[in-house]
Amino acid sequence: MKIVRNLFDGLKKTRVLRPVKPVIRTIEGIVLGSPEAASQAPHFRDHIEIKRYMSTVILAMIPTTVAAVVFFGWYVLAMILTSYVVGGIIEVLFALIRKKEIEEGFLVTGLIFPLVLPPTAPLWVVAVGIAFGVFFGKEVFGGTGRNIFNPALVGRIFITIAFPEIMSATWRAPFSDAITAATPLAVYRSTQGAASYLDLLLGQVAGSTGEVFRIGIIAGAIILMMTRVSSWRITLSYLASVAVFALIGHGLSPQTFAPPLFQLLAGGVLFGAVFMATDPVTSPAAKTGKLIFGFGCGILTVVIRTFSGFTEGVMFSIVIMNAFAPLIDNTVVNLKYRPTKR
Amino acid sequence: MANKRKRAIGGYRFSRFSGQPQADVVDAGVPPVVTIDLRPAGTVAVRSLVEEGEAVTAGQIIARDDEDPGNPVIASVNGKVEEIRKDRKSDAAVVIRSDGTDSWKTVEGFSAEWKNLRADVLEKLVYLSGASGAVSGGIPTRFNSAAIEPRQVEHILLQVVPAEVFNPAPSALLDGRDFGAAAQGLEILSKIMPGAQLHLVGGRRQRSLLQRLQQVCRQNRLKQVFLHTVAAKYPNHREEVLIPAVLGQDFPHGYTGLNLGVLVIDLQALLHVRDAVVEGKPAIQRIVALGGSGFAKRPHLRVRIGASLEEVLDPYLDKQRPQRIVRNSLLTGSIVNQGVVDALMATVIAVPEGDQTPPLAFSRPGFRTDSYSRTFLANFVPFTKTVDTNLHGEHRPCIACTYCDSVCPAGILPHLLHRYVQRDVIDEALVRFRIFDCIDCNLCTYVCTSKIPLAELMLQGKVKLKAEGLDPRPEEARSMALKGVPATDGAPSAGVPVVGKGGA
Repeated sequence: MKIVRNLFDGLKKTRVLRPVKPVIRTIEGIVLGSPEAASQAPHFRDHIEIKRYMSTVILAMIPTTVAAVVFFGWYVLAMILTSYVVGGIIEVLFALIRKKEIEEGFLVTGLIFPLVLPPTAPLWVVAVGIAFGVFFGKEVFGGTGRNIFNPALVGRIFITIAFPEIMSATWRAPFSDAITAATPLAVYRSTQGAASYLDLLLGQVAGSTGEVFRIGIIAGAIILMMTRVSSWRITLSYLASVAVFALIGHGLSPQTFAPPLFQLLAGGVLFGAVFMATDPVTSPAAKTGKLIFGFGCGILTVVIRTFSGFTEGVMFSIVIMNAFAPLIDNTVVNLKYRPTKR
Repeated sequence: MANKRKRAIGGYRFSRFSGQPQADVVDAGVPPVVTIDLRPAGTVAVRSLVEEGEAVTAGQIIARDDEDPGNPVIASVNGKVEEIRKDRKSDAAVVIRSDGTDSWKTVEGFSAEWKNLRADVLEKLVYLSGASGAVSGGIPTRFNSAAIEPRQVEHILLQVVPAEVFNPAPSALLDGRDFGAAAQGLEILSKIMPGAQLHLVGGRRQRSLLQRLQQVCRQNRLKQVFLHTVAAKYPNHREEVLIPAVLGQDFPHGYTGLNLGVLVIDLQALLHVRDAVVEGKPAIQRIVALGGSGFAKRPHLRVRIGASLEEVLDPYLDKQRPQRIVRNSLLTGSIVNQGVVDALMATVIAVPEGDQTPPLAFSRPGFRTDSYSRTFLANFVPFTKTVDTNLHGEHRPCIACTYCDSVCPAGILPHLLHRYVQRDVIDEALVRFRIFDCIDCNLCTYVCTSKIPLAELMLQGKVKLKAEGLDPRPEEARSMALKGVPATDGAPSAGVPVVGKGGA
């Protein structure tokens, strides 16, 4: 232990390595932890830290990630690695330029991003997308904690718009090399035929790599809520509003609106509601605000799915609501703390 | 009571920490030297009545000032005054070298037939024994021992809520006495403060204990005694939380419970009152609980006020690692490695200084690590948890996880307020977001994922607001008709007085 600590102390003092000091500090932080002690009251601290917090999100994503690799092959792993390497380089470069710490939020972004891509996405598209997402979604705002939009979604939207034929024309079903053109939502839109709920739950349908194994996502949701890492308010209000609006819509016009349970299980609703809408940085902080945010995501998802040119509306709805998050927070807090005399 | 009781919100239960005090009481003996603080209320130094070289006896009043609210300072040992530090404002004190004898001078006028004593005699006993100084803010008597008069007291709350990480055991505080002693204390207080209603407040586990006390009170024909239960969460033992939760009254932030006419007292102070009146015993010693894994053995110590902690704790400390000694509360207490036992000390905590963490600490299962988040297995398995002073993480920008908002007992939003202060935006918005409701319990800093010193920032914000004349509390206080607040000078301190907070 002491040897390792001395080694890091030596490395930090080496003149040649000074430009990469944040990298050394990050590795030291991961391996040894921070030696800093509380200087005044409170004299002890909760063991939660950003590394633990982000690791818990990754832990919650493991079931669906493993399923993605099993369903779509080792290529998914290559996508994940590409995302981590390219995004990581940008993250580190920014830390070096800013002379700030490398922030752990990227660990989650770097994994979410390949999981929201079609399994047919070329690696260069993965690289371009994550680079754009990390740069324009996060770093230009000042890094983790200051960004307005979910960086993974910024990257995803960019490549959706930049390379539409790659991003929406080709899909693959699990355990098959055959290129199909349709996800369950697209199938429903053209033929009103809904995939079986069991297939949807087990992920035996076409879709983005990480969104198909829905049992795994539900397991992840349980982990996140049980550990208090994500807000149940956002996840549940998102899912509830999708169900309610689909129910109303389907009741009024079964031809235009897909049935509620199908809407919940098809596409990226579960993945989005569990792993992306709940990003604490880009969602409202106030409790009521979280409910409103999830509610808004739900309505927008159903509306975009039903009435727009896109078959899936999760990413747009979350990013749109991200933009409203500060406004929602502001309104809720101002209503709670009215400028009246007590 | 027309007021609606408010349920205590937020808070956090510090459960299953290893190093809890054991219930036995060990006598620490008579210390060779005692250093007695001349600022019993933690504010202005009281004029000393003795000279250097003068012989004093335990129980003798060595400093007293009847003009300002305050309590006499009592010599805790027999011996000779060695030094009087009066020039230095920060540590004005009388140093007494003890002659080693353990006797003390009883307070004049005490009687076994105390039930026949008049209120003025009772008050005199409580005041001259120093017992009225065993509560932060003082127990009201006709001797100007607190900000208000005894007749202004409307409620007396005896609190035994084990809300801290380490709490003294009530059985140890009784130190061989039975519940009758506590009931006698309550009876004496209600004679001194005839207008006051009596309330017993504890956690759920203290309920049967308090019920027994209530029963004894009834047998002694003590008028109605109310029993209340609050969650044993931190900081539910603080008067800022107890008074709204038990009595349904808004707490006047920046002031004390006494300004509302509510005396909150702990078991130890109550027993000081009882001992002064029934046995004539001056408040010269405390029962201090030892808590924390920094102690190899953790009894309660019967120890004289003014004794050096370094000497008193020496037989109990684990000397393998450097230890941090903290007074009363790990959340709010001061570091007292070089300190002495004071008149409001309830617990002494020793925790290892944590400059080391195990490798890859963030990825460990965490069988013994406490966290508000449930990301460690300690939340799911019944093992005891450990404490050290390490931050357990690096400083990061706020990610708005809102743990601080969830635990805040004042129902305010530390994560929002700290951003204002950090950017030096000190304006009415902070007042509107009720920054002055903050009771400096430090729980937000404790739970912070990004290791941001939230409570410290909020305190800075309060100090700056006050400097800018934006403190709304004197105005609010005027509408609350507070007691013992001079009409001209109603300016409260920016924070809450630190002395005596914490510890049951």
